[in-house]
Amino acid sequence: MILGYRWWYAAKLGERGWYLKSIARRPPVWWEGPHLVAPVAPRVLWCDCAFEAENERLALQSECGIYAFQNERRAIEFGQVFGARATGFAGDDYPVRGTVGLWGKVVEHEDGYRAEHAMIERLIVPRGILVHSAMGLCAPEVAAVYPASVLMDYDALGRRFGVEVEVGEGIEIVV
Amino acid sequence: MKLGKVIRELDVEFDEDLIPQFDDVPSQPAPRPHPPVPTAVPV
Repeated sequence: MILGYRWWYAAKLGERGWYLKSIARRPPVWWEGPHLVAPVAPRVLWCDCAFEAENERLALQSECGIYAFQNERRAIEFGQVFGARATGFAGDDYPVRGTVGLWGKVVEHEDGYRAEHAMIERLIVPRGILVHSAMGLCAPEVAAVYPASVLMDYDALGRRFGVEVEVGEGIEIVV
Repeated sequence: MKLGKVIRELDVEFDEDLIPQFDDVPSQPAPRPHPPVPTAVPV
């Protein structure tokens, strides 16, 4: 098994509680448990459909696999470019990073992997999110820190995914 | 999420030893399925 590093959004799905969902896929894929299987094994052919799929049919039939970076540093760097969708503002999605075990058909890239199977090994919730504005906006949410401890139910998330949720360094997001 | 150039395709075995043990988890963990579990869950 190969270890990969990636982000999700943690979000409350109505009365059903806390789930993780993909950050790049449109529409998002909800992870209902620790193990996810790609509907089609990934192929070597390069695919960037996580950003380009314009309808659900294309997204579901894609051969992209489950994305993960090959090291934690690269995943953390990616976390700095989330943008406004991940401010952690109450009611928004909250970014969570972690480690996944990957197996089955796996396509190796320079910076990561696309895999057929992924199992969540570790979940790390940033302690807080500091929002910066690149354009000097003065919206109330800019320059605020959104503490995960207020916005998220760690235990519920951990129970669903079978891991003990850790609290990690805060992150900064530029919107 | 850009991963850069493709290097190679691999067939990777599932390794149960790398799955964390839950003895120290304070609350009831979710049951972890024993893969492979065929589903139609999208990526």
